[in-house]
Amino acid sequence: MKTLKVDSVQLEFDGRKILQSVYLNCRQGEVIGLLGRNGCGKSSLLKIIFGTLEAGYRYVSIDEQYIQKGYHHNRIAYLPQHNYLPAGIKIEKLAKQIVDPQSWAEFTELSIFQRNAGKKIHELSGGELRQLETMMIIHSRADFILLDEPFTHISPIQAEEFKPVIRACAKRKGIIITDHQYHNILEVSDKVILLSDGVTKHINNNDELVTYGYLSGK
Amino acid sequence: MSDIRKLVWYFYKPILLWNLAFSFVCLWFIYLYGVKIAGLILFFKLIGYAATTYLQSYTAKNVYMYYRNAGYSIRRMYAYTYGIDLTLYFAMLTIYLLIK
Repeated sequence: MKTLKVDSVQLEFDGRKILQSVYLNCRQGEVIGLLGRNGCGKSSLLKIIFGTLEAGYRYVSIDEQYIQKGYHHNRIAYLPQHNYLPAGIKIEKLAKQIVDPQSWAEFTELSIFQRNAGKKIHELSGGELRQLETMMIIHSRADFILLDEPFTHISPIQAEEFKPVIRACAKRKGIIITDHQYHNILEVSDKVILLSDGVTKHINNNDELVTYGYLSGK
Repeated sequence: MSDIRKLVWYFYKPILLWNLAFSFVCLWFIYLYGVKIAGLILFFKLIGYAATTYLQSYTAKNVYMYYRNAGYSIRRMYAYTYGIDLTLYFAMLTIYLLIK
């Protein structure tokens, strides 16, 4: 089982410290839930791990091997908040370049794929597109998966469908997931980390989310 | 790994028509002013690539994540795409010079 280690991440925007003492590690086989208020740097942290955002300082490694760009050689996959599939190409063709051949049979059994395999992205609704993009990332070749707000823009039923897929995927991959729908995150995660004041706080008890001011406690 | 040929095709497809049109305009200028301006035209071709990259980074930046998730950097995708486009341009120029 491989381990993704993220340490000493520092990020500043216009002199404002966003991330200053970030530490987390994620083993294949576990789901890490990343919580935090708007603008606390959750998405920035995922982009730094993926390799698309430059940090003042960062240490990212897989099995102690330093990783400059997480996406090189399909080591890490990332679901951004925005849509990312190119237009004008059928979903099935796009999926074949992302989805792990070993997971292809499982992926093609998904009803969302079966309904839309022959379509192009402009023929899909926003929710369908989001669901397909998320499923492609979950079934990708990468050893580690970063999911940025996978429960946003989808219906509660679709969110319920995601959870067992994420859990099943976590048997062979490490997953870091963030979303404002914290109850979904708490339900699907093995470990929860709160990002507050640029620092990661490892949450052992959900009451700590109230203590640290993430939840109101009412 | 992903099929890089298909990925390059997906990446090239949205800008193919513009690049081909630009190549034909370049050839038209060579037809008008002679092969002596081929070096200058190549310079304009490179300016065209810079402009395309700039426009793409504004209008199609979101899809960059698709190629990264396939395991490739965007710099590499542009290098392959412009390499192919330049090869096509030189092929067309060679054919023009042969049939002239």
